[in-house]
Amino acid sequence: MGRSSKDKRDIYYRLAKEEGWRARSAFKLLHLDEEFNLFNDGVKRVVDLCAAPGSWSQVLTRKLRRPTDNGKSDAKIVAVDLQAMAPLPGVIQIQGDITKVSTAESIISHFEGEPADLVVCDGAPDVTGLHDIDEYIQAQLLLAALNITTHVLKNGGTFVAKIFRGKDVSLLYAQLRLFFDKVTCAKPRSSRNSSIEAFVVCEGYDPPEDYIPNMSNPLLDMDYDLYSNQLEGPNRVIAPFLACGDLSGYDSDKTYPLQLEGGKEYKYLPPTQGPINPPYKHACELKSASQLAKEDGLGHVVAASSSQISTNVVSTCSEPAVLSDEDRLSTQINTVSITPQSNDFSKTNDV
Amino acid sequence: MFSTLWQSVPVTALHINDEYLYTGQGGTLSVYKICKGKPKYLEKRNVFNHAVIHGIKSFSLEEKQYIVLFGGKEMAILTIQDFYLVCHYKSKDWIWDVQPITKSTTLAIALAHNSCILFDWKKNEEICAFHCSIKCILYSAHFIGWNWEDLVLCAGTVFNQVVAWMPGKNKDVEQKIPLMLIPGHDGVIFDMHYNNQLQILLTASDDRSIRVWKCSMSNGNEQQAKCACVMYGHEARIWKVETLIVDGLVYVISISEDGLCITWLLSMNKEDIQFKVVKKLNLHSNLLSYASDGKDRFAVGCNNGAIYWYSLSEITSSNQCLEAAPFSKDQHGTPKIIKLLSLKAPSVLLYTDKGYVLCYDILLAKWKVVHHLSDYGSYAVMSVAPDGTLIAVGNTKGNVTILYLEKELNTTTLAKLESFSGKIQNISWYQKEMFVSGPSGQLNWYHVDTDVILVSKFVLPQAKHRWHMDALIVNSESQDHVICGDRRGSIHLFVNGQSVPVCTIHGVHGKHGVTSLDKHGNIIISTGRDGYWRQFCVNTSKIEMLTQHRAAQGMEWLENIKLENFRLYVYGFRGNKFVVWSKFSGNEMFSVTCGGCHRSWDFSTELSKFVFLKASQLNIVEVPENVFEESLVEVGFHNHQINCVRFLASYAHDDCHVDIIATASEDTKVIITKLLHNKDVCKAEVLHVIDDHCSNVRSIRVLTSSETDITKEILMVTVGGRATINVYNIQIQKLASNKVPCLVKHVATYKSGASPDMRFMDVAAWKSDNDGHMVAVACSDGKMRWFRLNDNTITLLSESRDTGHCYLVTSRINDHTLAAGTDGFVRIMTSEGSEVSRFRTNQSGVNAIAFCHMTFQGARHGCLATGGDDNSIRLTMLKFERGAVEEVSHCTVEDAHATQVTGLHLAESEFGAQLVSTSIDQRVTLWRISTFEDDDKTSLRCQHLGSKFTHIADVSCIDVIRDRYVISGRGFQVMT
Ligand SMILES: C[S@@+](CC[C@H](N)C(=O)[O-])C[C@H]1O[C@@H](n2cnc3c(N)ncnc32)[C@H](O)[C@@H]1O
Repeated sequence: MGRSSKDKRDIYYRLAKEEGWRARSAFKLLHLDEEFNLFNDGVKRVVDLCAAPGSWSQVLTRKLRRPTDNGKSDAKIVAVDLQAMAPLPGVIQIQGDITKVSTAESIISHFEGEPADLVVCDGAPDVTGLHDIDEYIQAQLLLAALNITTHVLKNGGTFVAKIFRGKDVSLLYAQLRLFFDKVTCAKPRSSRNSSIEAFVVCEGYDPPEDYIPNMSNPLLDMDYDLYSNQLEGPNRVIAPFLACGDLSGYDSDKTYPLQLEGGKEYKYLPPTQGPINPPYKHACELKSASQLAKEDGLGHVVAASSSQISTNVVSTCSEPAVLSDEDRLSTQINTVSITPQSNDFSKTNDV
Repeated sequence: MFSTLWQSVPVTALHINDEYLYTGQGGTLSVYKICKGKPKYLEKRNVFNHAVIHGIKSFSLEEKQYIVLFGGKEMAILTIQDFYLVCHYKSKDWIWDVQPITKSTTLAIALAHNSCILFDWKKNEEICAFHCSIKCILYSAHFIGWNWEDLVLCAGTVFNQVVAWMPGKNKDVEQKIPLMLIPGHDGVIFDMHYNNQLQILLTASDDRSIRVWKCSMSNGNEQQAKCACVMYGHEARIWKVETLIVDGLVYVISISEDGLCITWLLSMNKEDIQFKVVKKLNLHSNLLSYASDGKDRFAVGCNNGAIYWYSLSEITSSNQCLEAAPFSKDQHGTPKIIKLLSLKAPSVLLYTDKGYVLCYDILLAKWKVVHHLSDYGSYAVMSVAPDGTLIAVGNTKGNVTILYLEKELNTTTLAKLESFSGKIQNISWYQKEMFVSGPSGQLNWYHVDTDVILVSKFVLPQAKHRWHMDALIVNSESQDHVICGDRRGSIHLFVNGQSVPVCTIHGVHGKHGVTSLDKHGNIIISTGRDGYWRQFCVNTSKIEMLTQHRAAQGMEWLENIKLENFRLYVYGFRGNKFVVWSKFSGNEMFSVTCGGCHRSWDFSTELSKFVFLKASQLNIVEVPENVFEESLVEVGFHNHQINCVRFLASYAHDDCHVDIIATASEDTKVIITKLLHNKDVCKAEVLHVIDDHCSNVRSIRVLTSSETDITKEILMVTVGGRATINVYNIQIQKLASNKVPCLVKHVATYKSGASPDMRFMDVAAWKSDNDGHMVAVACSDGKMRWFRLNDNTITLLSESRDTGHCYLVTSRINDHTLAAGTDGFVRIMTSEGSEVSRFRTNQSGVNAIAFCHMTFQGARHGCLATGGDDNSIRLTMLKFERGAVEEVSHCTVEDAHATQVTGLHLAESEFGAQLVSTSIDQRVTLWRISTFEDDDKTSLRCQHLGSKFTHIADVSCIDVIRDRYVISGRGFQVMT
C-alpha cells in the first residue's frame, strides 16, 4: 500500500501533517487542554519532558508565548529529551536522560527562585515487547519526571504525564496521590482506543509536609498491601477516568476516506518530522548495501570484518516503515529494511 | 476460584543444569529431563503469583543444589531436589540480575537504578546496599565473578553504554566510581556476557549489532575496553548473546526479535577478532530466551510459547556431498534429466541429450548404460513408476517408450507407444497408472502391467500451458475419477469415459502451475508454484477445496508433501535452495543450495539422497538419517497478540477431557488447538493453522449446526482487517479412534473491494429463516453492515448510517443487532440498518458486551453488560416489546478494573446472574448481579466476588463453556 494508506488509517497523523505539527501527539495535549484548561492565564513557566520531536513544545509556544506590552513574551519553556530535536524559537532545549541526576539538575537550575507552573511529560521508552519490562520502564520515566517535578513545580501547580495503563498502574496512582490533590486518568480522543496509553493529570501540587525533594534517591513505585491497594482484592487505588476531547471531533480508530466531507481536496504531504538518528540506522545502511553477515548454503563464508564494514557503507538509509496493524505482519517483517520496533509499536507508542 | 488448567505464555527464561532443562513462563517454572539428548517434560511449579520469571540460575552449597529464579521485583530460591522454597524475596526495585556468592549463603542482586544489594538468603535479610556514582535507569545488568570482593557489575544504561563497577570493593564508600565505561553502541544494550577464559565481553544492542570487547574484568583495575569486532547480521533487536566453546572453537550464539538465531565463529587474533556466520536459523517468532549446557546443546525460548532444542555440532555440520565417478560425455552425451532409483542398491538414473539412459550405482560407484533410445534427441521427458521398475520416456514426436528394469539393471522394452503426433509434455505415474500429456491439452491414461492398455482419453481446457503436472485416481461411488493438476494451476476432475472434465477449479494454484497431488484417506493434497498447499475432497462428481496453507516465508515454489509420523513436511524451493520444511515446527529440516527450481532434481528419504544437475554436472548430497527429527520441545502458537478466543467444543471421552479452541490473532492466523486433559497433565496439539486472512483477524463467531455424542458440526465466521470475512464449516469427531478429529472446510470469503483499508472489528451470525445465515459486521468506518451467507457466497444486504465513530463490538440479541463503538453508545438496530434504540453506557470505547436473560420485577428481561475503555462496567436491564426496546434500569461500576475492560461473559444464575470480566490490568473478576428493593423501587446491584491475577498480558477476550473459561491476549489460558 502506498503512502496514502497510513494517512487513511490515521486521521490525526494526516491532520498533524496538514496543520504543521511535528507529531500527532500535539492533538493529545490540545485535547487535554480542552478538558483541563491547562494553559490558563497564570501559566507561563513550563517544563516539557521527553519532548522530541517537539510537537508538545510547539503547542506550548503557540499557547503561551502571548506577547506582553513591551512586545516580548514572558513565557519560559524548557524542553528535554534523549534525542536531538530541531530548534524552536523561544524554547530552551536540553539533551539528556531524565532518569539521570545530572540532567535533572540542569533542568532544576533553570527554575531556581521562580518555580514552574506546569510540568508535562510525554515520555515513552522504546518498547521491548516484553510487557512487564515496558510497563516498568514507562513507570520509571513517569517517576523520574515526578521527581524532577517535586523540585521545580510551584505549590498548586499541575503535572501531566503519559502513563501505560497496565497491570500495576494502581501503584503509580497511589504514589501520585501523595503529591497532588486531584489525580485523573485522562484519555484524549486522539489516542487510540486500542492503545494502553493514557495521561495522568495531577492538579494541585501539595507534597507531604515532611517531604524534602532529593534528587539522588529516585522515587520508586509502591507495593501492594493488605488494605488499601490489593493485588487481587476489591480495594485498589484507581484514578477516576475521563475521556477528553469533543465527541464530534475526529475518531482516531475510524477509517476515513481520503477525501473528507466538506474538506479540502486530499493532497499527500510528507511527514513533518521523521525519526532522528534511530539506533538501527547503521544496520539499515548495511542491509540496503547487502552487507549484513550471511551464511552460505553449502559451506561457511567469511563475513565482512568490522573494519570493512565501516568503510563500505554506500547507500543512504531509507526511513524504515512502521509496522501498522493493518498489513500482513509476517510478510512485512521480511520486506521492511530493518524491523524498526517491536511489533507492539502501534499498540503503545502511537506518536 | 479460577484454577489454571493450561496456559501458553512467552518463554522468558531458560537454564540447563546437568541433565535438566528449566523454563520460566509467566510465574511458572517447568522442568525437563534430558534423556538421550532430548528434553522430556517432568513437572511444573508455580513460583511467582505476580512476577514473570526473567532469569534462572543454579548453584550448590555444602553438597546441596539450589535454583534461583528472579524477575520483576521478586526472587525465589528452591532446592533442586524437591523444589522446597528456601527463600522468597520482594525487592523495592526491579531485579536485572542475581549472582550467588560462592561458599556463602549470600547473593548479589542488581537493581534497575544501578544499585546492588548483598542479600543473605538463609536469614532472609539485606546485608548492605551500594550505588554506582552514575545513577540512571538500566535496560540490563550482568554480574561477573563469584566473590563479593571482586564482583563486577556491568550495567547497560539508556545512553547506550556499559558502566562496569565493583559493588563489593571499598566497603566504606557508598557510591562507587565506575571501573570502566564502554561507549560505542548506537542503541541501548539488552544483554551482556563475559567470557573469563578469553577475557572478552559481548554486548547485544538495539542497534542490531553485537560487539566484542577485549577487557579483563577479573583484576579490578581501571582500564579501557577495546572494541575487537562489530558483528552485524540480525535485522531486529538482539535480546541475548552468549559464547559456547567447543573443541577449542569459539562460537557466539545470539537471538533476536525477528526469529533469527545466529551462530557465529570467532577467530581470535592478537589485535582484533575475525568472525563468520556459521548458521542462521529462522524460527519465525520473537526469540526471548537462551540457555546452553556449555558443551554442545542449547535451547531457545520464544514469545509464542515454543521451545527449541539444538545441538551445535548438528546445526553447524554442512551437507555431505558425494563425488560421482565420471562417465564419458563425448560418447554418451550431457545429462538432461536425473532421477533416484532404489533397486538392489541406491542408484541414480540419467537421461542424456544423446538418448542414453544411464544408471549409476552409488555404492559401487559404477556406471551402466541401461538403454539407448537412438531416435530420441536432446528433448525428452522421463518418469519412473513408484515401484522403481518402470521407466517411461517421451520425445518430441509423441512417442513414449516404457522400459522394464530388472534387478541386474537389464532392461526390456515393454512398449513403444505412439501416443500423439507432437511433443510429449509430461508423464506422471500413480501406482500402475500412467498419465501422458501431449499437444493441445490431450491427456492419455494408460494402465501398465504385463502389457499396456489405453484406459481413457481426456482433453484439458484451453490454456497457454496446457498440460498436466500430476494426476491420481479416486474411487467414489464405484466410479473411477481422475483428479489432475495442470501447468496452468487448475485442478480438474475427470470421469472415465468422458473426455472433458466434470469439474474444474480454475487457476487455484496461480499461473505457474500445480506441482503434485497426493491422497491421504479421503483428502487430496496439492502443492503448487504459488507457495501454497491445498486440501480437497471429492463429493458426487464435484471437487471441493477444503483449506489452503502456506509453507515458510519465502518458499514460493512447493514441489511435494510427505507425511512422516503423522507430521506434514513440504518440499520446495526458497530462492536458490531446495528446502524440506516442517509444518509442525515451522523449521527447515534440510536444505541444499542447488541453484533453484529450474533444474532437474530428485529427493528420497528412503535412499537418504538429494540429487540435482547443475551446469550439466551430477551432484549427490547425503540426507542425514535424522532429517525428520524435530528440534521443537514445546509447540508455539501466535507470534502476536490474540484478539479473540472461542471454544469450538468441550467434551469428555474415556478418562480425558478435550477442549477444542480457536484463536484469532494480529499475526493474520486463526489456530485451532486441541487440549487433552487427564488428571494432572494437559497436552496441546495444533490441529489447524488457517491462513486465509491477509491482515489481522479481529473476531470469531461460532454457531453450532448439530451436535451428538460422537460428532459436532460448527459454522465459524472470522473477520478482520482489509474488510475481510471468512466462513468455515468444521466437523469435530469426538471418538479417540478417529484419525481426523477436526475437519475444516473453507466455505466462503468476502473482501470489500470498495474500501480495502476498512477493518471489520467484530461479527455476529445467526441462522436466517430461509436456509442460509445472516452475518452482522461492526466496521471501522462507523457503519454496521449485514450480509447474507448462502452456500458459498456472501452478499452485502444493508448498512447502517455512519455514526462518525468506529464500531468495536456487535451481537445478536432477541432478533435485534446490537452494536457499540468508540463513542460509548450502544445502538440496537434491525437488520435493515434502522435504529430501534440508543443509549450511552460508557464514556469512551465499548470493548466488550455480554447478554443474558434475567427475571426482574417478576418479568423476563434482557440483561446487558458493557465494558469500556473507561474502566467501568455498566449493566442495563432491557425490556423487549413488539419490536421496541426500552431501558428499565441500570447500574454502573465505575472502577470495575484499574484499566480498560476488554472481555465480559454473563450467565443467568440462581440469584440473578453471574458476570466474569477481564481487563488489561490482568485481573479476571467474578461479579454477582442481583436485584434489591429500595424505596419501592427495584434496582440492579453488581457485587465484586473476587479477582484473580493472570500472566496473560494485554487480555483481549474471554469465552466460557460450562465451567471452563478461556482468556486470550499475549498467549492464552484455560481455567476452571
Ligand atoms: C512519544 S515521544 C514524545 C513526543 C513529543 N511529546 C512530541 O509531541 O513531539 C517520547 C520521547 O521520549 C523520549 N525518552 C524516552 N526515554 C527518555 C529518557 N530516559 N529521558 C529523556 N527522554 C526520553 C524519547 O526519546 C522520545 O522522543
